[in-house]
Amino acid sequence: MKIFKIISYILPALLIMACGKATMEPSNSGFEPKIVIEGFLAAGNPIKDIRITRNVPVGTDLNNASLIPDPNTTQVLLTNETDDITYDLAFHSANNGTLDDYYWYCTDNSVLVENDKTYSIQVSAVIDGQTLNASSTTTVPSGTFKIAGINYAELQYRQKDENNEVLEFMVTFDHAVGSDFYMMVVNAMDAEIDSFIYDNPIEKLDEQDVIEHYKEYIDEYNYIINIDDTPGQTDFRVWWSDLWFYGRHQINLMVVDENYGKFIDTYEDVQEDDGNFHEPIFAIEGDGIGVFGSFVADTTWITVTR
Amino acid sequence: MKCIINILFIIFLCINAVFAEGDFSTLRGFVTDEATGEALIGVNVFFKDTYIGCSTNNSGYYVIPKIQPGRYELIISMLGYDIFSKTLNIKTGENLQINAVLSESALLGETVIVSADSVPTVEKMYRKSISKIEINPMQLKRVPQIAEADLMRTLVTLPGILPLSDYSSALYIRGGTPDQNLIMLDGTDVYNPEHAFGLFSTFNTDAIKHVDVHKGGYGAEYGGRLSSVLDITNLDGNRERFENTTSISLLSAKTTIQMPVGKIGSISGSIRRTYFDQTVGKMMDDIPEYYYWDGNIKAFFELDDSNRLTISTYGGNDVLDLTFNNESTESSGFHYDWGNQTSSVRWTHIFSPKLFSNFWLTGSRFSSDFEMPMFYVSEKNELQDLTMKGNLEYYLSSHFSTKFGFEQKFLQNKYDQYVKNQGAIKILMEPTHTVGYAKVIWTPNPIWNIETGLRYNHFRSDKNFNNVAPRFSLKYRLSEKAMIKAATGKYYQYLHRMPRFLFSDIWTVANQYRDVSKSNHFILGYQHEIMQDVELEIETFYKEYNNLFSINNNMGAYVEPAYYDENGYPVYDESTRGVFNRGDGNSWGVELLLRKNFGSISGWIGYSYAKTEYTVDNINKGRPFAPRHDRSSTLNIVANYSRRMWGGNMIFGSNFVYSTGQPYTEPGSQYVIARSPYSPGRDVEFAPTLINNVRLPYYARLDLSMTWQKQFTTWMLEPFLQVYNVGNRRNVWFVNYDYDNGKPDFEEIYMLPILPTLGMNVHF
Repeated sequence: MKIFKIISYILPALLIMACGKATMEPSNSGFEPKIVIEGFLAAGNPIKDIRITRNVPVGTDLNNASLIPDPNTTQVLLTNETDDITYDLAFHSANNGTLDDYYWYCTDNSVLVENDKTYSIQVSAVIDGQTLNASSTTTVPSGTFKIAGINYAELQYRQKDENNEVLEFMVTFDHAVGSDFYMMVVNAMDAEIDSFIYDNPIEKLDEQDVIEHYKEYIDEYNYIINIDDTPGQTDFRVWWSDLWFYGRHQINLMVVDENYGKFIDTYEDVQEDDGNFHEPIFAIEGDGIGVFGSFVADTTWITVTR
Repeated sequence: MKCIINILFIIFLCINAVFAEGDFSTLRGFVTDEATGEALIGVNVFFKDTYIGCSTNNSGYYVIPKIQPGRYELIISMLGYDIFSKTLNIKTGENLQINAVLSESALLGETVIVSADSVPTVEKMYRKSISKIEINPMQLKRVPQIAEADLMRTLVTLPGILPLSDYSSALYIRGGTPDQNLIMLDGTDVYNPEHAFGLFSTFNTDAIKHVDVHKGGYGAEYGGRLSSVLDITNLDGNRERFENTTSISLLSAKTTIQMPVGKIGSISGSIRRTYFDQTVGKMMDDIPEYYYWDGNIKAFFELDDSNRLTISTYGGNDVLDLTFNNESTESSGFHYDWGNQTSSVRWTHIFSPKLFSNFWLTGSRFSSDFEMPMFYVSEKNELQDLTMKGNLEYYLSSHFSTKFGFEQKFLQNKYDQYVKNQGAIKILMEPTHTVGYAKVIWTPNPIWNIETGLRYNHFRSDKNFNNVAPRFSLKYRLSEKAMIKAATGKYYQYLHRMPRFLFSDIWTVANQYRDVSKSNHFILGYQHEIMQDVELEIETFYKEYNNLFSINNNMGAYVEPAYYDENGYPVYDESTRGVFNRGDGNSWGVELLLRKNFGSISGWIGYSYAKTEYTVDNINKGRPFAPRHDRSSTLNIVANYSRRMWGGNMIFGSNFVYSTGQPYTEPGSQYVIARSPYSPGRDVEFAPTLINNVRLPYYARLDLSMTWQKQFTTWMLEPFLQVYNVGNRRNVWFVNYDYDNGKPDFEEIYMLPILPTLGMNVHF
């Protein structure tokens, strides 16, 4: 019976240790303040909409005050490295505006981003009492890129041909010589709760789900990497899984530079399947994260009918 | 290859000449189970009141060479069996063969006694290699588990062997990753031995006869992996009568049969299938159709006194069919199946009483097939391994014995992935691996035992690798009850694994772009019989690794195509770089094991304190970090208590585990950014900076089981109840970070909750 006595002492002790609910709060022990650069240089367009924000500890409420560093202690310089011209960018703000309204821009509207030219950015800002510096360089993709055509302007949702094969929108594009990363952004222009395609084979959703996650379905994106960078043509499929609404869709096809490509490929996917995190790739030197990239874009339209 | 065999043969002749027999005698034989005729592995064979003795090998064979003429009492004993003893008058130059048949111990008194054998515990400890653990089916089945006994899940109750999570049965041994474990079933390498996305191992415990685990410092007869060896032997089959074990649980049904084949052999077979898809799955919506099955057949033939033949085959498959939206008029989803097939033919031949040999022809194939028609995605993953190998054991004298052998592997590694209008991956590699090894075991006196060996590897892919791996170990008796052991060795691995969550791992091989992986082991151990039948083992180890390859989570940003197809889409092949990150690392630790194998109370207490550190290119800015599987402290308490109850035997089992939380990478910081100038809004994203810099809360779990055994005249009934995580502790697996309307939202994702299982075993 001695054994039962021992068990009667040990077992409850082990049980106490092996019950309950463990919890985990972010410690932010590894937090380092950083300048966040959001800069997309669009070929053929003025230099504008460059947003300089900062990162904050996980759990911080996000608002303009917590995200935008004091513009008076921030300096943003943009240099056309190919022609050796530097622009001191100006800050645009608005009273009670959204983050969209706070950006840096080149005051000379006639200065346009040019294909095949190299641009660099240098940012200096005071964050949490520290002066931080960040810089990055991008080379704008070649102007040989353009949409060459699209196979259908309009299709019924998952329309089938005479062989019962599902038809698909295919956008054919001319390669940007020297670039291999292409991104497609699909914007649903007639998106409404009523125009949502509920009878789809991809995801079971009811109206409430759509109301809650409406924004997630309005714009979809897809990319293909490592396309042949020599002259030629390739097709980019518009996946039915990127089309969630009946009506018109704007297709923005972009060829992006290496910085932007690496950012797109890694910035969202930082939590692994087993829950752990890993680092994304930011082509920014110094105390910065985010993206300073360039692209060439072309646009077409498609319509999905009932 | 021919050159290696010639060298080994010359070495063998030289050794033979030096240690010629003279006027001494030799005793040899096989040891088998009386009830089943099964060869018994690891049986202690010795002359009473002397240090002269040995253990049976994996074929149940023993040899005591170079015996001085005289009168001896031969003792042959094993845990759970009655002792075999015989008095021998050994004459000069005599070659004696004594085949011993051991019968299982009777149940005594009110308490179920699994009786100890007469060999002092200290002797059994001394004969065992350093860092080696032997597990028998009874011990496997008594550790409470989820649904049913599982080999891998039992092994993680031992110090130095860890799981990554409740959802995985993969083994992390002394800081090594699962791909660094050589797993063999009846001499055949098994790749990806996992069912149910890693939840269970592929080995049916009812079919297992014996398991050896080498946690490190193993001898020259093993190689090809950096960390450890798991050597599983299935049942040969009952040579005396028909025998059946059938089990039914909430998860699966399985049956194992064994029967004699005339007077010359036996056959055994088992089959198992889960039926969740046919029961609960039929009643619930949105549950994918999933099941797995496996089975094995093994035949054993004793052709004559010197020749035995064993034929073994195993097959298993997991099948998953998932429909994305079962309410849609158009259905779509994916199909995924994966599994292993292995076969082996083993010829055991005794050239002379002192020269014992095993020759194998083995085949192993892992394959998986994934199809998602709607997205035009398909994937075929296959690894084939055809191996010829031989292992010879020569017993020169009571002081010297040797083991030598060869291995020739023909591997085929095939991986095809195709995504229409995106690109393709086409990998086909057909490397060969040639191995020759030899080791010498020297016992100069009863208190010293020294083993030294060499293993030569020639691996050919698109590059030739030639590596020599020295091994060394020693044992020294400090006193009648205590000993120290030490081992060191160099280990090479030519196969690299790409682990994937839920999907089966992809294997690839060393080539001109990915170097061979290397490790060095240094182990020192102290073992002590602290009281009758209670073993204490303390081991400390240091391991260093070079060229560890782990998956590059940002591989999309680095890979470059090997060529383009006619439409300009990229095609990747075996020359593609950027898929793996290369790194180095080290592990060190101290392990303590207090074990009692028999009696009404049996079990073990294991504790380990260990650290593993990696330095990997492209991760953590090149700074060292602890990998996810590192846990500083782990405590395991496994206890079983047996007693007579309700006209049968009641066995209570318990398993307690406590471990330090795993390293974990926090999101680091949050920021707001747009995906493109065309995006209507901005997303909140995370920017991790320090890798695995914090730890999850501690992990703890208590499992209990209760098994009642009722023996009838010709059959036995065994209902059981197992409760996994009886305290329903919610151990954190990871934390999900999200944002809901601009507010941070954290949610802990937990490991398995309380899981009770009812089941029934029937033996006849």
